[in-house]
Amino acid sequence: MAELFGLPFLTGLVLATLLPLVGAWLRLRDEWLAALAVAHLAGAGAVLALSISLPALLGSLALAVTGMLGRHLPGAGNSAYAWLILVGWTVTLLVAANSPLGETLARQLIDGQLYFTGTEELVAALVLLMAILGLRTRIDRNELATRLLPATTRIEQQQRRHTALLTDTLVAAALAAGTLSIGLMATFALVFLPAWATFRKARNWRRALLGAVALGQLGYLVAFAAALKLDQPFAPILVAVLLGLATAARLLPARAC
Amino acid sequence: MLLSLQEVITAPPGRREPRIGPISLCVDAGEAVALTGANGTGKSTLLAAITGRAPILAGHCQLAAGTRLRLVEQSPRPDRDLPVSGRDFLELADADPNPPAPLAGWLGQRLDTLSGGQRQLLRVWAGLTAPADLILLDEPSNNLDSASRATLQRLLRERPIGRSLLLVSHDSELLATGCHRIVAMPEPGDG
Repeated sequence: MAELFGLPFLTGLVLATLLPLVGAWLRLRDEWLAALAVAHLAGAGAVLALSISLPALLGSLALAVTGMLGRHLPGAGNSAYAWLILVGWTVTLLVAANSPLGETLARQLIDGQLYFTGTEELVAALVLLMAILGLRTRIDRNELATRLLPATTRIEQQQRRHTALLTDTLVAAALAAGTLSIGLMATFALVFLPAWATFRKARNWRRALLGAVALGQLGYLVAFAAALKLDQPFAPILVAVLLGLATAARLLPARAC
Repeated sequence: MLLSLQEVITAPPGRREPRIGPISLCVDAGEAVALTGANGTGKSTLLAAITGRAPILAGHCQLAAGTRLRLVEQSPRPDRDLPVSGRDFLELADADPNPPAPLAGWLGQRLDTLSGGQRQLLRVWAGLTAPADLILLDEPSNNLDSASRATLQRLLRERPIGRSLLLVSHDSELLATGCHRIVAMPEPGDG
């Protein structure tokens, strides 16, 4: 049992740690809808890649990064993300309907395929976690400064843009890895719900991040156990657990945070 | 001289109209210069031009090499639902983490639980005490009650030695407290 589920369990745990961090940055930007848009694009990229005999991870990464970097185009914003969600959904389902491999993957992307993940997915998630933790202080500072402090020189503006591009790439890679491992909606739930719950009441930035990660991990552990015990698909159980935990956390009195 | 503007004509960020200026002014080390003018004369746009966010269509804007700038904006993005404390904010701004009363009492609170005036005073403190040579303050007394205006005047008077100020304001009382010179923006059509 442990051998069968050991790797998937670890992969999910790593994703449950890094996706809430990604969610905090996107929420800080008021761009949390980007998570859903990029996850849809990652799914579409995976299905497209498989349909032309390329690795799913490659296609997923390529479209996710392209979608995330699109935020720098003039006029980008939540409307653009909504547009991308529709593009991703349409491409995924149309390609899936016309390719046998694509159809299987499209189904897995919606259901979540954590139990079928292996060493490749775990290594990808670990590499991303290390990169994100290593750069976290720099990214935090850049995202907070962009929100709260105006840049005062062209050099400073340029430095902020460069760090934002790096952040976008890591965010897109994390969303692609999440979509391929635990499915589209489970990835979105881990990005959106923990940050949504903790931003309202955390006393400071550090507590907001710690709270989001703790909520993501707790939700994951409960969902992993519950899905196995009840013999249910993992992704919808994770979303249901996170919905419950995040709503409860949102209702907690402020002094508890 | 830290900042020198010569016959500068600018326009709002990303646009070429309406044209603002021409205006000339200079700020020396340690000097406080006030910039006044009616609404719509482009005072905030001029600050945006100095910080590189608005275009300079004509004239020269020169900052002495190595001059570090800080800008305290008039209407920053709202802080609603943002888990950032006053202490987080000063740390982010590299500002002095030990402000005087009453600001010290607000450090443990989230920015979105402070009043607009309290947030404004924290922003001014952050601007005045962060590593900077020239601080650009855009209407810092807007929406402040009389007690907060008194605190603002004290912060400006007691700012770290050597810091220069370019202060945009309509507030004659504030301008009288510590500005060495007052420069009036030209009315639209004057140039």
